[in-house]
Amino acid sequence: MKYACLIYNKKKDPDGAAAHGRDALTVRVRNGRLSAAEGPAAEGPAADPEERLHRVVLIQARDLNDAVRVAARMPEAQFGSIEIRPVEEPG
Amino acid sequence: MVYRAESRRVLATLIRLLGDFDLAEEAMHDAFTAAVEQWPRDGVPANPRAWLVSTGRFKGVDTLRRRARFDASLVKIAEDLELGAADAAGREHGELEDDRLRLIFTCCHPALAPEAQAALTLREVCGLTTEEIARAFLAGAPTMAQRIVRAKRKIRDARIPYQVPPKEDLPARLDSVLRVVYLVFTEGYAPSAGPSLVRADLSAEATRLGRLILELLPEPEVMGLLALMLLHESRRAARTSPSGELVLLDDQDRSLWNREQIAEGVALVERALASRRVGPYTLQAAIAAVHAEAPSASATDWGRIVGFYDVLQAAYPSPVVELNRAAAVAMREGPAAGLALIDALLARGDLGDYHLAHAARADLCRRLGRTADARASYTRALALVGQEPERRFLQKRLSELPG
Repeated sequence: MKYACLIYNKKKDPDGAAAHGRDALTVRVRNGRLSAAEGPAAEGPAADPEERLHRVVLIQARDLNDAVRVAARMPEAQFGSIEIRPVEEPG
Repeated sequence: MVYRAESRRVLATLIRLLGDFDLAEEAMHDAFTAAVEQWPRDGVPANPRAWLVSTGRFKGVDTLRRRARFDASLVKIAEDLELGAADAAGREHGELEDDRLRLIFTCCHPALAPEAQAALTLREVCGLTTEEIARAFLAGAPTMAQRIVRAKRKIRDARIPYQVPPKEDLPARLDSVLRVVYLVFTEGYAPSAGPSLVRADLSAEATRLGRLILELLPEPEVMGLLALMLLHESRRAARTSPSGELVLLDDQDRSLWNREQIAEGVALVERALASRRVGPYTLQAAIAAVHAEAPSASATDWGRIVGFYDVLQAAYPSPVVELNRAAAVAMREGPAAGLALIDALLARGDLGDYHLAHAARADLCRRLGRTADARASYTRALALVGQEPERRFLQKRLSELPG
């Protein structure tokens, strides 16, 4: 299964807003504590309105929680938000 | 499949060695990645599991050391883990099997919500993916992933010890483990909405888990639960008609019952009963065993079944047990006797919202020729039923009542 990581932070302006998604899960690490919140990065109590979509990374993971493990290792997880979505493979 | 089985064992041991779920998963992942690179080149090690564990431990300590550059508090932990490596190596062997049991008890710890216990057990012990678990419980994958992340954080924050509970706590803690296994089983067994294949897998997973626990901890109630699952499972092929309609126990084609599962289930019930430490799973399994061994509904030893229900009701009273007992009494003494018990039960208000209570009442009224009462109870049951096959079954019964 492939997953896309939509990486948000405050430093760069967005090219476009992320579409609304029920399949989204947002990962953040603050003070060494990992959290995973249902829904896109721009929604929910932990959303930071100043965050903008920064880059998209495609990762390979065994399942959604394994994708959380990979996302939590990305540096931006420490200060930004990483939104995970499943990617439909063409075919 | 090999990866799945091995990775769960390796994970279970790494959690003990590294003391942290997430770190252990990370380390296991690194160890398997290293194996993919090195084994084709250098050959498969003599003991692959031990290789994976020691590589994983090394990688885990390494990860902590790297993190320690940013967080001084981790230096001590990394050092302790390295020191521990030497003296742990000696007593490694016997602990490996215990690690799986430790993992089961940790995943089913009562400090975690029951849904979280089931999700965590299925993922960490059985190796199911988050997506599979979500489908089985008819939830979204993000919901399930969030639940799993929170459960792991709770284990860390509450410092839930990674151990098989001490003898005095064992009965209560084992209850919690068995409840999770049975919950997984019933989720797979109930023919409700959702992709049916995945859900049958869930029952098989629960049975496999039951076998594993029995192997690690041969307690009578573990035998009872495994027996109960096997005896239920033995009827799976007979429970639905080719067109997907529900077939009640009394009407099932018993030649479709799986004799192998019945033989294994009955043997387990006998072992559990012989222990003289009889719990609710064993009693339910004993009842299922009486059904399983009867050539037909009418040739069933209903007296024995009522007897087991009496013991069950005395030791673990519940209105559902009373309802089932009433149905057995109806078979032994006739519908009127059963109906009196169900009416008394409903009058107490305990099962007013339970569709099966009304369905059972409707069935007894039908057999007594009390058509109007039967119609009223079928209608009430239909208003409460959630599962589609059951709804169709009740609808059919209702439409078959004489005008």
